[in-house]
Formats: sequence, structure tokens, C-alpha cells
Amino acid sequence: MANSQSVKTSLLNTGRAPPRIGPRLRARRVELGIGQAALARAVGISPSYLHLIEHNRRSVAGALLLRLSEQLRLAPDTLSGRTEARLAAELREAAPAIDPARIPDLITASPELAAALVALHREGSATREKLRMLSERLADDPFLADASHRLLTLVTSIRSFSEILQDYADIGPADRARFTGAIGEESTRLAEVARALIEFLGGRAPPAASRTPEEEVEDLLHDRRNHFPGIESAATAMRAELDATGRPLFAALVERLQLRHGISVRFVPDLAANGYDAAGRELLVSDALAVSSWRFQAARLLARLEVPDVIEAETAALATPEGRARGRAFLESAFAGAVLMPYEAFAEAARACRHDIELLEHRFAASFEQVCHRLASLGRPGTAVPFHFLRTDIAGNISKRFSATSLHLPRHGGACPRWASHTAFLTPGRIVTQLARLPDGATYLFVARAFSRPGQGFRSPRTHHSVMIGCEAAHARQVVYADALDLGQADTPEPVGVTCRLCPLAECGQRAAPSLQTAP
Amino acid sequence: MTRGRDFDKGVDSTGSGEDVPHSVLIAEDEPNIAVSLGFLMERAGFAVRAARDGAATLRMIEEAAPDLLLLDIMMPAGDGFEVAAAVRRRADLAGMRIVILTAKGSESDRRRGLELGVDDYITKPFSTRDVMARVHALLSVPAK
Repeated sequence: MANSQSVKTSLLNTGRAPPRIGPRLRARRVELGIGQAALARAVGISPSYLHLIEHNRRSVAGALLLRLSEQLRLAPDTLSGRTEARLAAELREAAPAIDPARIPDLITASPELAAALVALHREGSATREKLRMLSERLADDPFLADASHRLLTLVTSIRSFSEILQDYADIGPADRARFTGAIGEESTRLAEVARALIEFLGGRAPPAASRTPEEEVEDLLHDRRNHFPGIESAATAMRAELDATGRPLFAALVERLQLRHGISVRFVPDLAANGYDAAGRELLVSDALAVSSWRFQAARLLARLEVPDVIEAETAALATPEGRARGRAFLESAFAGAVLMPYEAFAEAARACRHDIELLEHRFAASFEQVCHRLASLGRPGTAVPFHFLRTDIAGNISKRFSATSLHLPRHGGACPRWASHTAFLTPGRIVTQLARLPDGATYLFVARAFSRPGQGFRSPRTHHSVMIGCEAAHARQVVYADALDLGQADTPEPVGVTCRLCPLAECGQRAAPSLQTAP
Repeated sequence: MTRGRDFDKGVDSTGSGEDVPHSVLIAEDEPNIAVSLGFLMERAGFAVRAARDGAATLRMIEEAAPDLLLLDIMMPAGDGFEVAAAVRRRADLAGMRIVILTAKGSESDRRRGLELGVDDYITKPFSTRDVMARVHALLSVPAK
């Protein structure tokens, strides 16, 4: 009878729905020495109804369950059996060798032991999962793959020569010298590989190859403060030649592509067709784009065709082929920006108008983003105001970032919600300024604007981005946007963080994640 | 391919007990491993040539098909798997023995090699004694 009932229970509910409450309720009532009539009165039901409940002929839920558990001084889930049911389900999973029919008895006999077993099982699964992830990471790591290949190769060659020297007593002196020399050389190399491996595994000097290609390029930009003199001088030289033709810039770019490279420019209505068709030797330019984009694309193609050596030299230090490819793409764009906005003329204009981005847009027929990008690439120390650059989408994801200032920009999403780059979305198209003080006391001037670009027609979604540049507050007087801010007032700077995790500000209504810096 | 010529000089047919010595092509981009294998094959009395990448290996097979190909997997210009596949596609090269010598020791790589129809698969770091024993077995020459 009991057996058939337990089978029925496990068929009806897979361990999640509450099993029989009656016997548990009755046992607890008896344990506490409360009479059936007294309990019924206390919870406001008739003794006969309680009798039915205790014999599993009426179910209990909601307010009545709460009142009963209060009277019996048990948690509602414990009284209803939900806790036990869940423990039983977990125990079945943790110990599949145990006969499921015996599990309720085992739990009754020792709930603590059952819970401990479940916890142990959970911990074991988590550890296995972590181990699997780690071994996948190790297997995929390009540095480790390369190092283990070299290790095996070197060991093979040392072992081969040693065996030969042992097995062939009649080797001539020349061969003998050659083989022992090779053993010496290979041993030195082996020691180097072994040292690099140990450093890698010890985490003391993570070698370049274990970064992602994106991180490699970001680190390069960071190290060089997004300023590449070789690119600047090549772009300045090309711009001088383009200007010497006496033609408007875009016409001069088109002419150069045609005369020097036999590439013609064709206008296409379709935005998606935009790009260089190497087979047809055509640069396809979309009518839908602004003139600034036409020029940019033509200049970018010229970078690829005419200065690959300059770009190669700047990216040679990147460790992986993917990293170098990304680096080349980035520097081709940087070259194009430098042709459109040549260093000396742009820096001089920026100084004269105190970095008024909109004036620079007009002066160089470039977009807001192009101008901001360019401002953040002038970082020749001492000659230009160093800016950082950040582009985010409306969900806060970061799609472009580099910093010539000391500001730490978060690597991925999750920048402080108080930053102007986010609040700029409240007034799209308008420039938002902010004097922001970071927890370490460093103060920056932030300048941001959000903008939307149409998709292709009514049914295609618009894209929304915000571009922000910023400089240290010490340079704020050289930037027109600081004029509206009272720089002398101690209260002017707004307290901000970098990310919630790295921010110790206790009283912040925008906090989205607990700080790692305030110990709980 | 100066090393290939070096090996040729030492060819000695007496060890094989046949009129024409067996020919061995070593495809290996690690110079020191190629040198030691070359020495061993020469000493065993084989006619030895060496190639340092996939393309050169196929070219040298085209010039004169060897009896045995010692083939590294990780080589520039066409890896060992590609070379083995190309050889096994050719009916006229069916008699060529192929032994893969590689640092890639995973079971899937091994299976891939054997599925391509190679005769043996030896992982680095190998013992030269083991390599010689297997080569002799494949060429049906009694080991010394």
C-alpha cells in the first residue's frame, strides 16, 4: 500500500509538487501536545475538516497553510513537504545508485546527511565544470600549443642525437662534433621554452600570444597613446600631393586611385554594396553616405595600396596574425583620418577654436565621430591636449575606446551610468558636458553626443550610438565646452566611478552591482 | 636541398642485401630532426633524400617515388595530412609506405592519419630505435 502510493506520488509529481501533508501535520501536532480541536479552533476551521486534512483527504494551501505552520512553529515549505520534496529530487540526482523508493525514509532518518550529500554533489559538479572550462582554455591557448610543439620537437631531436651517439660507436669525428653541438644548441632552446612555459603557468608573465586579437590591438593603442608618427608623416605627405593638384579633395583622391592604381570609383545606391571590389578594380561608394564617408573610403583604400610598409612596421610587434590584421585595419582608418584632417592643420585649427568639435566638423568636412577620433589621436605629448575616446551603444556596450589620458576606460560594457556618454542619450544630437570626479580624486572634462543613424527604410531599425571624448580637468580651459562650467567651484565636479564593481561610492542610486572595493 | 645530397653520398646497398637499396624521403621542417633521421637511414643502407615543406615533398615524390616516406605533420606549404592524402589518391603510388612522425599526438589526429591510409603513426618524442624497428618492418628488411 505504502509502496504503491509512493510510486503514484513519483509518477504524478516529479519531486517538485508538495507530497502528502496530513501525516506530517498530525505528527507535529502530537509532538507539540496540541489537541485536534484546539488546533482547529486556533486556525479557524472545524475539527472534522482538520481530521480530513490529517488523513490526506483535503489539501492545504494559501492562508490556511500559513496559519497552520504558525501554530505548529514550522516553515510553511517544511510543513507542506516542499522542502523535503526538493531535497528528495536533488538526492535522486546526486546519488542515482540509491533506490528512489528508499529516499523519503533516508531523508526522514537524517535530513542533515541528505542535505550534506546534495551539497557535496553540487560542489563536485561545479568543480568538474570549471575543470572542463580550464582544460578547454589550455587546449585552445595559442601560446601553449606552440610551446608544447616546440618542446616535443626539441626533446625528440636531443633524444635522437643521444641515441645515435650511444648506438653507433664508429661515428666519424666530424659527425660526432656536429651531433654533440646540436645537442648543446637544442638543450639551450629547450631551457628557454621550459622557462617561458613555467612563467606562463605561474602567471608571472603572461605572454603576448594569450591575449585576444582585440586586446592586442587595444594594448598597442594604449602603449602608443593612439599616436603613430609614421602614419602621420605618410598621410601629411600624401595630403600635400593631393592639394597640389588644385582639385577638391574627393576629386583628387578619385584621380589618384585611377591614375596610379587603375581603380575607378562607382556610385551605387545600395548601402550594403559599399566597399572595394578587388577583382573588378572598383571602389563602390554609396550615394546614401555623406561626402565625408566617400573621402574616408577613398583615403582608406589608398592607405592599403600605397603605405602597407608603414602600416606593417607599426603592427609588426603584434603577436598573432589576427591581431596584425585588426591592427592593419585600424591603422588604415587612422591613415584615412590623417589624410582628411592632416596633423599640423588640424592641431592648429583645434587649438584656435579651443576644440570646438562642430566648428572642426565644418572646417574639415568630417563627421562628429571622425573629428572626435582625430582629436584623440593627436597625443604628441606637450603639443596637443590628450583626449580619450569612447563609443557606446544605447545599452552601454562599448564598441570603440582608447585613452591618451590616465582615465581607465572599462574594457567591455558596464561603464558608470553617470557618465555623460550615457546621459547624452537623453538629448540626442546635443552636446552634453560634464566635469566628472573619479573616486581617486582625478577630475575629467567629458564631452558627449548621442546620434541615431537611419537604417534602410521604414522597416529597418535605426542605430543609436554615443561618442564621448574627454581630457584631464587641468586642460579644461583649452576646451570651449568648459566655459559653461564653474571650474573654480569645489562642488562643480560630479562624483562618478568607472564601473560599479570598481566604485566605492556607497550612496549611489545607480548602483547596478555590488562593489568589490567595499568589503561586505 | 644540400642536405639531401649529403645523404646520397653515404648510400650503401650492402646492408639491405638487395641490388638496389630502398629509397627513403624524409619530409621534416625541423633541421636537426631531419639530420638525425638522415644519418640513421643512411646507416641502414637506404638511399635518402630530404624535403622541408609539403610542396617540396610532393615535387620530390614526382621526380622519383620513394619506397618509404617519413612524414612530419606540421610543415609549411602543405601539411603532412595533405601530402598523405595526395599520395593516397594516386594509384601509381600505392606501393609507397608512409610513416607519420609528429608532435600531434591526439587520438583524433592519429585516427585521421590512419584513415588516410598511412602505414604507421609515431608520435614525438620518439625513440630512434623504435623508428628504425618500424621502418625495417615496413620495408621487410631484417633489423641489424
